[in-house]
Amino acid sequence: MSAAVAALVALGFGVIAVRRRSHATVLVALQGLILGVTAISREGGESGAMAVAGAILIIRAAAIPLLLLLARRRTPERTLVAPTTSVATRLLVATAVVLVAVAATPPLGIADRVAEHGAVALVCLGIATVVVRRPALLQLLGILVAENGVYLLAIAVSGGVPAAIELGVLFDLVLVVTVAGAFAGKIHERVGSGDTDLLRGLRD
Amino acid sequence: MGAAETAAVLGAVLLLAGAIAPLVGLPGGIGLCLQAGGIGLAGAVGVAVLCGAAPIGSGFHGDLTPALGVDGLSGFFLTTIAIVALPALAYGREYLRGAPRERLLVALGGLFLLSLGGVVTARDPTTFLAAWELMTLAPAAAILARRTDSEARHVVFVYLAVTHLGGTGVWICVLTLAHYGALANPGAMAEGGVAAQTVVIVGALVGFGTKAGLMPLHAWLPRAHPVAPSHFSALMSGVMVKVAIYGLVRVLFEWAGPVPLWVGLTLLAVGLLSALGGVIFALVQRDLKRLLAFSSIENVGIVALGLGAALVFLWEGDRTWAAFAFAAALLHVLSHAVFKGLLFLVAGSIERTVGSLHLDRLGGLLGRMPWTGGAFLVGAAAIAGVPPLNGFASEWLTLQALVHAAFGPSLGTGLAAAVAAAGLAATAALALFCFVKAAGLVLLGAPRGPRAAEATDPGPAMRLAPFFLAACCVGLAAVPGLLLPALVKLAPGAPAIGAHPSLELPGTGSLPSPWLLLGIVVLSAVAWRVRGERRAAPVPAWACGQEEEAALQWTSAGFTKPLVLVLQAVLRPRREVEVTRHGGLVASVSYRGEVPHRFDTHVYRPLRSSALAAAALVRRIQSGSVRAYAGYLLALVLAMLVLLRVGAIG
Repeated sequence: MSAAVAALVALGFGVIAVRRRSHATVLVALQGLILGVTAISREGGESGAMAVAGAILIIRAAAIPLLLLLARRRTPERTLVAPTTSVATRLLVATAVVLVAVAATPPLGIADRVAEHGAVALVCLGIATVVVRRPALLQLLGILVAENGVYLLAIAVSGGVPAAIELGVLFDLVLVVTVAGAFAGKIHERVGSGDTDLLRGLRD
Repeated sequence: MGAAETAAVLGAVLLLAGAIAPLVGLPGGIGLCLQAGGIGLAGAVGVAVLCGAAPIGSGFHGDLTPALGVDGLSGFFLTTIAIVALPALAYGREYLRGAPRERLLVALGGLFLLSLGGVVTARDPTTFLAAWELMTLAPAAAILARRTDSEARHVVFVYLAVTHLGGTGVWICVLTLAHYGALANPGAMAEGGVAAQTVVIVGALVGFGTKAGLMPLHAWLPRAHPVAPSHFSALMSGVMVKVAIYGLVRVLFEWAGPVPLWVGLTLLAVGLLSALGGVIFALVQRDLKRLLAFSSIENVGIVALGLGAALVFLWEGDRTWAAFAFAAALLHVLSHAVFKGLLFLVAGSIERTVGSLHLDRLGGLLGRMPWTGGAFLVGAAAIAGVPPLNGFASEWLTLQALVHAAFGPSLGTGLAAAVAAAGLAATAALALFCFVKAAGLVLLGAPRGPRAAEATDPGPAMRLAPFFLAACCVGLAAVPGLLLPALVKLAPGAPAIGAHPSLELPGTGSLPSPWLLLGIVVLSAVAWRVRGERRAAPVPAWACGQEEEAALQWTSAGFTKPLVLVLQAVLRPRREVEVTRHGGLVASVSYRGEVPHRFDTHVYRPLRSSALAAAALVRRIQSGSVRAYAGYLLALVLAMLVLLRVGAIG
């Protein structure tokens, strides 16, 4: 579990650091893959639960990244959106946020303390990604990283979360990605770029 | 199900049918008839329960299950609603005929009556709050259905803003009461601790006080009443503000009781401010409906004085006089509902005929509109507290209670009551001044405009509705003592008293209303008889050599000028005189004057500016940047984590 958590957090740092949207999408897909595999390995062979975990793996690791890649293809950037901050600064901010969050995390009632720290770190990393990245698609990927943190907490709960809730969350996630993808497309169509900072002009 | 229950259910069904009928294409008249049948039945049930029949329906409870019921207090307010609503509906039949959006206005009227009845018969917090909100929204919709100009929209905005801000007090109060189980079990609030009881009382004073129009929470009232359709104005001023009094009575005398002394003293102070402030601002108005709206504030102030005196008596342990003060407040609720309903209906007739309610464009209407003018005269005399009409009876009772409280055992409460009594006496005198002005400018003298000169009485329904209310004024004046035992019985821990036609009070004599009325009738008859065939000889008035014209009569500003001069420091009137000269001779003089509403300039405007400044400050964090919002979220998450870690929360 510790290795999986470390990999997830490292991938989260990757999302905040990489320049290209496609690369970041692949990193989030990898997070989904790790989470899916971890979930299946913890199910212990019960067929119904395995089926749910399998569905989650497919959607998180394949379907959602595919939706995102399609969205990216529909919104080609003529030039890369200039990042507001350098990679080093972004990583520094992310590290500071993660350190504060992990240090401040109180016991959340889950036996696995590493999973608790990892989940809080991922949630904060995800939100920090939205803060420091300007393109709409990368901000959406930040939300997915945060969501992956919540899911990590769910699979770390002993006995697991009921299948109905897991599937409900999954449905919400697909909905969020679809709607956000559509909005990203619309923003691109109107302002010619996925740069959300351009939307500030809409403020009255 | 007994006869009373059947009548109550049938009444509610008829009211609902009356509200729906115009929306499904039936004529407005059918809707109004159904509504009249419904509210008539509800009023009859109210009278039955008030006169001693067993309460019907459910008792109060704090659950979410809707429940309705009628007890004595609900019965009294249902009766009051019915007495004003029946003539208002009859009046509306003619007033609305052919008006744009007639059916919608009829439907909204039905909805308004349903909500008024809903508030006084609700027995659970959900129904109470739903009916309360509906009661706020229905008149707003009616104003907008009638007028869509920017002035009306602004009025509706102010009305909704003020009443909804105040309405939060009602929500806080009712939900806290439900939480402590005090709706079903009065007294539970006293066990809930001082803080919870204070929250409930302050919520009630602000929430119900705003809807009742108590100063300084009255800003909406003089704006909204004049622009509403007249039969709606009659219901708003006659009944809606009284339903707010119902809420105040329920909370202070039942659910949150026994309340501490400061509540009684606060009511005395607020009542005095409203009574005096209301009548002074009424005096300087030039629009009849606006004058009547300020006069409503004055009368609600008088009711608050009665309720405040009752609370002071309860604190002193004098339950007999507490009951009399309480009954005085309720009697004034009924009296004011009747004469204010009358005056608003008459104002509607005058506006319809003359095209204006500007006092300086009216005049001479008593001769031209004898039915309407006569009813107006009775209503004006009643509201001015001219003995022995109903306004005098209830004000006399309130004054007696305050004077008795002034001689109470405690020096502090005695002083407060003495000041309140003096204030009430001043209010009564100023109200007389105010309605002498209104009646004189509207009814007497020569018409001040061509349309006033051609005015005639409206059709039978619009003539008879105010006439019916005028008859109620006289009826209530004749035998107020017969009603008193039923009202006294509604007070907490009240003693039983016998019914007399006169108002009999222990230790301070009585008001022999019926004999006074009889004496006036006999004296008038004798004077009429003695006069015989003699008539006053009409001779031209001496106007210092000028040609006599209508403009030389009293004007609204001229009549109240002495008072405005005396109160100059408080009212700060603004005047502008422009003299145009040609060759050293005065060719024309123009005068413009107004008395600004100082609550607007000194209370509401600074409040609005502060609110806008605070909003501008908050707006700075509204950068419009998604990343900034995510930054706030991140800061919040980290702050929460840190607070959890240090144990500040959780």
